[in-house]
Amino acid sequence: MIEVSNLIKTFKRDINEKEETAKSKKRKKTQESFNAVNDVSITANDGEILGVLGPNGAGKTTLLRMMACLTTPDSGEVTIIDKKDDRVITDPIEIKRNIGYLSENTKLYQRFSPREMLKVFGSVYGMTKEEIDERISLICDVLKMDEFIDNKIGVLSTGQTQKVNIARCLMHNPSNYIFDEPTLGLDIITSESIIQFMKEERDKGKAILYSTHYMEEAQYLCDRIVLLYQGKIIDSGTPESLMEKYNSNNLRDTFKACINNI
Amino acid sequence: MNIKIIKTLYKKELTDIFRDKKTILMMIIVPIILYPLLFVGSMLLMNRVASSSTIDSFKVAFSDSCYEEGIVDYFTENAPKKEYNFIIVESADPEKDVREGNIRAYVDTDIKDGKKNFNISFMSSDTYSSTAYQMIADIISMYEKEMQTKMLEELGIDAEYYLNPVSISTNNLASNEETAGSVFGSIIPFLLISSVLMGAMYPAIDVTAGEKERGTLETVLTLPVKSVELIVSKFLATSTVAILSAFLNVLSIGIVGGYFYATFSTSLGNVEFSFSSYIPAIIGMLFVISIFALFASAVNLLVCIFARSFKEAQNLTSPIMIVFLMAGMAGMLPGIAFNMTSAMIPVVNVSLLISQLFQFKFDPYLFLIVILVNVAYTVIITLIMSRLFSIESVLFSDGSRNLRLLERRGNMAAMQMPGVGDMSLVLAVILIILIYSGTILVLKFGLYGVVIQQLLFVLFIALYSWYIKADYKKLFSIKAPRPLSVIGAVITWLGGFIIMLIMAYVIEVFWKGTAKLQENDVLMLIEGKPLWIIIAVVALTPAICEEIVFRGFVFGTLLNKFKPVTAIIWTGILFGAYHLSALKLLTVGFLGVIMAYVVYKTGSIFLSMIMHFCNNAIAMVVSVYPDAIFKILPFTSNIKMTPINMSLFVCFGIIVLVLGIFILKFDNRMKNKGDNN
Repeated sequence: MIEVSNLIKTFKRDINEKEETAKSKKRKKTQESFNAVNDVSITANDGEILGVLGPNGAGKTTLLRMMACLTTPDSGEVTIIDKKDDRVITDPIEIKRNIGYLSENTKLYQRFSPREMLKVFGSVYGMTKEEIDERISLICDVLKMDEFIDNKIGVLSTGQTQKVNIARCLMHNPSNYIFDEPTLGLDIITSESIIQFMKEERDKGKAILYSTHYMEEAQYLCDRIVLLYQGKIIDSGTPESLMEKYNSNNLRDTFKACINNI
Repeated sequence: MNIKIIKTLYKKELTDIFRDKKTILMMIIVPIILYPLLFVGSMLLMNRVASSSTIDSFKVAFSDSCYEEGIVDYFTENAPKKEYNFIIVESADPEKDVREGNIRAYVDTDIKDGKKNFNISFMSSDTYSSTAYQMIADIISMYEKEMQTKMLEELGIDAEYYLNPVSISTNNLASNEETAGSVFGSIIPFLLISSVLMGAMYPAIDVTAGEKERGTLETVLTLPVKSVELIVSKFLATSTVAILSAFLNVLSIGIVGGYFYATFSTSLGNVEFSFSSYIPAIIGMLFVISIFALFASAVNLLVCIFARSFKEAQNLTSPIMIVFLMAGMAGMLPGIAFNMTSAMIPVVNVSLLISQLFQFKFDPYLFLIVILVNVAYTVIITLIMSRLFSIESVLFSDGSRNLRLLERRGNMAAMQMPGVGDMSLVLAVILIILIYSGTILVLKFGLYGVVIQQLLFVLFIALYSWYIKADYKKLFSIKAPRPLSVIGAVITWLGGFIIMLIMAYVIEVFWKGTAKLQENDVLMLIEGKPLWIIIAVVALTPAICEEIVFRGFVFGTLLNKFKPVTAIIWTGILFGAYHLSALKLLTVGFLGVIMAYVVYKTGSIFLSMIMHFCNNAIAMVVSVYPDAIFKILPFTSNIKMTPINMSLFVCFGIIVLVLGIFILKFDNRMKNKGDNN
């Protein structure tokens, strides 16, 4: 279970202002700070897929990166609650140990084969050699990677690479997953296999956080949805309850109605 | 730190590096091919140079008088036939022919002070002509000797004894190994240092900027790894490659050297020479160079972690390379002593130490210091890096845009402001102009050299600003001052000036003699010049040029990047430091702060130019007419510099200063009101 409370992250951005007065044309370059994520608290429970939806620039990626401890929030807290061992984890390194993180920015080592890379990752997660080999053959079966497990990643196709990326997240058998637009730019068959994978992991009782801007995908996959807009949560609930609330039969219209409502 | 994680990551980095073809090329191919090429090339070149100068014949013309006196005959008889060859030709217009290279030299004789005088015309700018002159001079001195002998013998004196009352015989205590060692010691450090730098550069870029560019950094960061572990593994991998490349280079140099020794030893005959005597030096060198490889890797990594792409990393490392290579030449240069001080300077110390080892000089104490210094620097840099590597703006930045010079002009947007990197570069160039050309110009042109130097500053700044398409108006605060603000600025300066005088006096008391030492050069230059020239050169030119540099480029850049207070204070410090004296660092620095403040408040650089002019002009008037100040203000001569008086002066200065600032602020308010209406 991942829980975050009151996360805030501020970035600086350059703005080019054109200031035209009667006398002269002036160009001002100033820096303005803006909240990419503004006071967000969410919880992804075990055995549930929590969808984080929002348009581009809503702060989805920043939020998920903070939850994976890739960036530190300006304020707020990230915790992982391990119900099996009854532990509360707040140390970033320990959190990383319990999370499988996938985004379009997590690229793979082109000069390694999937097997070599998984070995490196397993070893860093502190697994023994036997554990690593066992795990790799299991993942290989599940994701059907036998064909290319010993080829260099650089020569793999997009779909194959994405499978390797998922294998990477699975390697240490984490109890929580964070997937940032995992199906972006993939064909229907490959995205279907990823979606299938998420469902299976949920059914094993894992907490899955999933961000996307494909509303249809979210509608039938997510157990619960958080709508993010301009760094803030504007609404949340099950897809059904949200659709009911905004009186529409799909999530796309729901989202539009929700934004208009602000 | 988890050793197991570091080990795993280290292995991963190393595998990654070795699977990159560029690294292999830099590390293995270069030493294997470069050194044989270098040696063979230099041998060929030497052969060519040696053969070209001996085979060439030199056309020389003689005057009629030479023919008459039999000098031409003497030349033809005594010219060293094998090495040189004179061709004696006729020349109608010798000076023109020498100038045009038709003949190399022209010899004429006359009588000067009752003695025979040879008049040789040649061109010192032409190598052949100079050689011809040298040969002629040699023959003439032979001729002179013969004449001396003849004259002395005519007097019945033992010419041989009187002409050579002293003789020299040498006893070279240096063994062949030592002689050769001093040659090795001058070349090998440079070759090794450059190869280690090359060996470290590519892996350093690959594991940092390369990883960012390929997008794998984010993936690694999802792992439960501390930034220290990450950077240490990267550092170790880079160092391994650097050390390996150093060893390969030593091996290659050894093999090439051995080969040439083998080929030449047969032609040299029985020269006693044993290569085994260098074994301790080589072992010591391998050790030192390995430690240096650690340092080089750390420096390279430190620079590269700021880069976001391979290309940018290369741009950032090149200046470091140049500095290191120049420092690496220390072993080649005579006169750089290997002592405590030079043992502290990175790169230089390694170069000198290896050079010493080959000269069979071994100081265990300095050896230890060099090792320790390098290890210490490495540890410090690695610590800084692991700190930086956890800062997000360094890890994920889209570039610092520090040095706009690295961008191509076509790609730059107009109306830029330079970065801090640009400013550092500009100040470095100005410092070089100040130290080197400054000295030369002043020696050559005297007082006007100062003007040329100042104009060089402005020219450089102008070119640089043009290149980066700077927003001139903003950068240089170009704005016409309002009349009232001129008065305010001058009063502000006056207040500052009074405080400066007291500061200078206090410093003078504490560090006696500093002031006098400083003023001497300027006083020498201005001696005997009319006052208006002095004012123009020493007051007006710096007031314009130095202000463009400091309150313009430097302050404009800083103000764009930092808070006004930081920018103002740094401008002062840099302006003080520019005067290259401890005394002026404080006083001039203070003045610099005040002037920067005025520019900040009014947005007009012309005000600080006026202030600067007042300041320098007063100083010059006082040094030309030292008594003038007492004539104008007679009471000042009686004032004793007691602490109470001094504090009164300072208080008075502060009051004047505040008054000036008040006027400026008042003027600002008036202006704002006017704008609003």
